[in-house]
Amino acid sequence: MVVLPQLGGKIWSIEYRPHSREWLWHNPRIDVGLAPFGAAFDDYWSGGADVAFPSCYESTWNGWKVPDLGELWSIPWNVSHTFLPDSVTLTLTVGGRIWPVEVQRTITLNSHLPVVNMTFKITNVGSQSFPFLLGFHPAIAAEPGYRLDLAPGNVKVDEGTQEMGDIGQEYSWPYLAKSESDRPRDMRIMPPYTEGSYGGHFFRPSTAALWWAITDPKEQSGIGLVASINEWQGLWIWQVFGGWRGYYHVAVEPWTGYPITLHEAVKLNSARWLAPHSNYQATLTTVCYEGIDHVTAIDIDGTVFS
Amino acid sequence: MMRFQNRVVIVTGAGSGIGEAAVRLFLSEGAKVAAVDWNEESLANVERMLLPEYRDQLMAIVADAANLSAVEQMVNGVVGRWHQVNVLFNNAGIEETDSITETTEAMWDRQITINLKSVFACSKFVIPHMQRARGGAIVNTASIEGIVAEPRGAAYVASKGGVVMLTKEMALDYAADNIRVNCVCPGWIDTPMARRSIAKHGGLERMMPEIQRLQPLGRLGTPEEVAKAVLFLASDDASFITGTALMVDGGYTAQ
Repeated sequence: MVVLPQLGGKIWSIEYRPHSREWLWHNPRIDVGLAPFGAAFDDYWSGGADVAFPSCYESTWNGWKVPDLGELWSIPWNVSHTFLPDSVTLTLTVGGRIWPVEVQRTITLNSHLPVVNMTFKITNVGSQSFPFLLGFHPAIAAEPGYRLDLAPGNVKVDEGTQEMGDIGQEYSWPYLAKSESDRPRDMRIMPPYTEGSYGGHFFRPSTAALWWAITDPKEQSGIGLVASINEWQGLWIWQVFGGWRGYYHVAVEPWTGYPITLHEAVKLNSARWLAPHSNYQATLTTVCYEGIDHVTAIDIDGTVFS
Repeated sequence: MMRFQNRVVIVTGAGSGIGEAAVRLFLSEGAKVAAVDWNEESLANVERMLLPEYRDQLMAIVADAANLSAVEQMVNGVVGRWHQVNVLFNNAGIEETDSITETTEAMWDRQITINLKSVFACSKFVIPHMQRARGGAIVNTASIEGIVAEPRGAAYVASKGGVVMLTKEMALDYAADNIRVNCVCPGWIDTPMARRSIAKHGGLERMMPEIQRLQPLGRLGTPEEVAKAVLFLASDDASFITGTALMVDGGYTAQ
């Protein structure tokens, strides 16, 4: 793993060493580098995995205006490390410039397992309660033919090209049909670059499990993430198959609320609120795996089933 | 004597000098020891020497003892493996001597941070575990310069004076929890840190005889002699001792 504390604590690389396989997408046209505070994230998106807080899209609450992907991705975080005999932990901390928060994130890499544990702790250091959304934004270097598996659940189409469903349409993962007569599209299989499509969908699990897995079926290796439904409401599935700025990548992002624009989430009572001096804690577990061409479940400890 | 059988000890600044000596002695008396240092290389040397004999008793942890986040992870790691902490030896320290006017802000911050803030940081995260265990012992490394000032030691003297007073304050706060807090005040001890300091201020060959002449016992102390005092204060032999600053200085401050 490569983590860049100065660049918003971005995780730049997750390499599965046995296959020399880099799983995070790196933008072929935008080099990794500093962005000015308040910049539009997409215009500086070099790739990797970023933290989004307290909104995904630009939003205003209580006169507090938050930039695109929030306020933490473009500012430097403090970092410390602890090497234990069987793990290494990075602890990244940062204070909000707009939201009165202290954020602590730990990233722990185990020496014997291909598992990365990440914890978030967000503390309100202000004098009033405020709403927030927390998201984790890992861009995966997917390719045509790769497979996206999710926990059982339902999906809502929020944005995108017509191949990826009608705006507002809902479907049960993984089959999307535009009409009853239409042949359903298996959303698990990633189409060719020439399709020129993209979509932003929101996934809510129908069981207590919240996980995703992206597998390269030819190489029989993949990467997955598992989270607790008590801490994260669902997954924003951002899939780009040539249709958005000409890229090809997939970002499956756990979010603590939906919609992922803060003021809309507040309106729908979906944002979380944090009282003064209280904190919100959440964890995510990322796992790399091999020897299988699809995934049927991932346990909360990162055990992958096929 | 196995005074620390079934006890878990954290030693900071464990990569050399007094810390390394304390690690050896704690291990030899049965303790499980988490040896903490931010210098990966020196810690690896200690681990290489001690691990063959004490494989199940020793855990080496690279961490900055003055960084609260790193310390929290370090303590979690120790408790995760051994479920308790009975003794904390706050020993991380550096010495960069100069007068106030010659001390840079960076020198000041470094010494206050490493010598004093590390005591705060490690104690902050260890004490709750001691409270749950209904007791424990903390020993801090202060210095004779926490009691008597020496010229051209502004930041060091201030930091060590702070350690002495913080020791007394913590002893009062946590006496009711059966947590004893004491410090040792080493005098001139033959450690790598002392040798570096002497070499910088006049050279080892020229200064060493002069420094020895100033010691009532006529010699420098050894890290083991300080470590023995640390083990005494950490052990049940010192069960009615808290809030004290124990001179380990060969009589230097008695003059």
